[in-house]
Amino acid sequence: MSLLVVDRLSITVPGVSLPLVDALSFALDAGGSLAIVGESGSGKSLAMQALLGLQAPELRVQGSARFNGRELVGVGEATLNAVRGAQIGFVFQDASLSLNPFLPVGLQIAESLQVHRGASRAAAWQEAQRLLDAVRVARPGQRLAQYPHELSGGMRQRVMFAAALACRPQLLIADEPTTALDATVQRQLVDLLRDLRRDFALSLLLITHDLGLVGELCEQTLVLYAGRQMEVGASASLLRAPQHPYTQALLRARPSLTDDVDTPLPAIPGALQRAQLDGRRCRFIGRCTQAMAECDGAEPAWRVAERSALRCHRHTSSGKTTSGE
Amino acid sequence: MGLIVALSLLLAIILFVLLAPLASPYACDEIDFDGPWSSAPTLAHQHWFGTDSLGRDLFVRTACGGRLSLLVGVVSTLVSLLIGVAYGACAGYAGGRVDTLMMRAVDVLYALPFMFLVIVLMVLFGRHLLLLFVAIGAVNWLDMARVVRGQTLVLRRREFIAAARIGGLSDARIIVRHIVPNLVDIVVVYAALTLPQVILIESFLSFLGLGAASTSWGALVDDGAREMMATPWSLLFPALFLGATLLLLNLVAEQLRLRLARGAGTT
Repeated sequence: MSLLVVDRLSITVPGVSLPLVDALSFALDAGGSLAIVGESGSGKSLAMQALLGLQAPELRVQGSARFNGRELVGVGEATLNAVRGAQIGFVFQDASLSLNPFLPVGLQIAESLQVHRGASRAAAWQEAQRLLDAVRVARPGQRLAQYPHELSGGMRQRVMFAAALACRPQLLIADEPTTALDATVQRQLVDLLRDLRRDFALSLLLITHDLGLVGELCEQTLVLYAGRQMEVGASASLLRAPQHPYTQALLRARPSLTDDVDTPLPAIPGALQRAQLDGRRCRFIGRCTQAMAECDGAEPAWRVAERSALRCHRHTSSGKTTSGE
Repeated sequence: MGLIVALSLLLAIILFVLLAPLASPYACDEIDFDGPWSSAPTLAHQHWFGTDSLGRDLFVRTACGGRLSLLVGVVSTLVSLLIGVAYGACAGYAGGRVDTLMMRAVDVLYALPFMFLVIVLMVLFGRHLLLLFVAIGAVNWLDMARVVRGQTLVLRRREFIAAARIGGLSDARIIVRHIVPNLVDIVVVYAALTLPQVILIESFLSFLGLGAASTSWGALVDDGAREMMATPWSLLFPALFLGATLLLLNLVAEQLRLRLARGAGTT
């Protein structure tokens, strides 16, 4: 049974023909986990925010996203508010920006309990303390009364997790939850996130460009480029044997422990420039090392192949290509 | 440093206004039939600031006038603060067409000759103290609304507001619980700037004989100005207190504003 079914979700700027997010489709099973990867500007965060009605008001969102069978796209604020915070938790990248600097953290965790569960103030604060304990904040009782600036970066991010999980949501959307932290704290938070998934029976949608996290936290991976999904597959096989040239390039651009430190990382040439994109050919064409004549002629269709589903002419033309292995 | 000095002087004035009538044997509107009329300041009958042409003690009257002037100042500032913050925060948070509409309405109100408006109100409904509060406050909220709206536009784009929305909080709750606390600094500074402005308006109205039908610094200055050739002290004392209070309040507000600007610069 699918918890979240996103079907051809498109986000367009009125007057601009090429959508920012173009017909994004995926399904997430209850208890499952999906990572959405892609470089900056690929539309990962935007798509997730649009799921919850948080996109800028001038953008147009089309398509459908059903959460537990309930439509989320195009419904009113009241309907969304019943889902947001209560059934779907959201963690932003930088907790120092997403916590209100003028309110004690306890209040910010307890608030959604009071709103969604009708909990009394005292009960909500008690629960907030338990939640802080669950995200492994030391001396949680003391922390509740503190303001965000009094906490360390890692602790603030834990507070964000506590706030997002307050109402025991079924789904947690984490938008680069560890990017703003240093490596050791990152490690702790990844462990915490994995444990929280188990303890809270959470489904996880992880937006990231840290491919190391993907393998650890998510069973499924979706690769997004310029608003178009390029490849979807099980994380294990996708990371080991990427099919799409873009996924391959992304994986090559990771630093390796065994390579000589002086070897420059193989970066993907060029940059994602929306102005040069064209809906009539492959979005990745200008930067692809394996581009062919067909790539310029038409955008490849979405095709379910053996190892993963992907959008590439190389794989539609020759059937079972296994490049990258 | 300047802030401390200004605040202690203000405190002294407030204490004087509150406590002076207790120190003097006379009441606000009491006529001292035994003492000299239009007397210069004297210790003889405990008329430390002299008496006016009706024989009323100016020491007590200056304090009583101060009470009313400060009260009008504080209450009207609170009224304008309440309306201005509510209106500005709503307009700024709603944004888009609602914001435009609400702020154009403010522009239209700005265009009204507001002093004239207050005068008409006072003439139509009588010179009630309550009406004075409302009239001045209701006119002064426009500036507050603009300032608050501008700040809210900035706050609205901050991530923690998105986080609050994603937490499923209603718009009303977000405005009250998450936007308004973040406005405190700017609102305090702006209220401090409004306070002397409101006191001046009240004094001006009283000077024209349009204030509330009771003693205020403006009314005393008006009385004093009529007789300033004969009894200059009847103008001097109320004017001195009024001027000093306005100056000090402006100094405090300016200091607060500077501190806010400096604080914003460092963070």
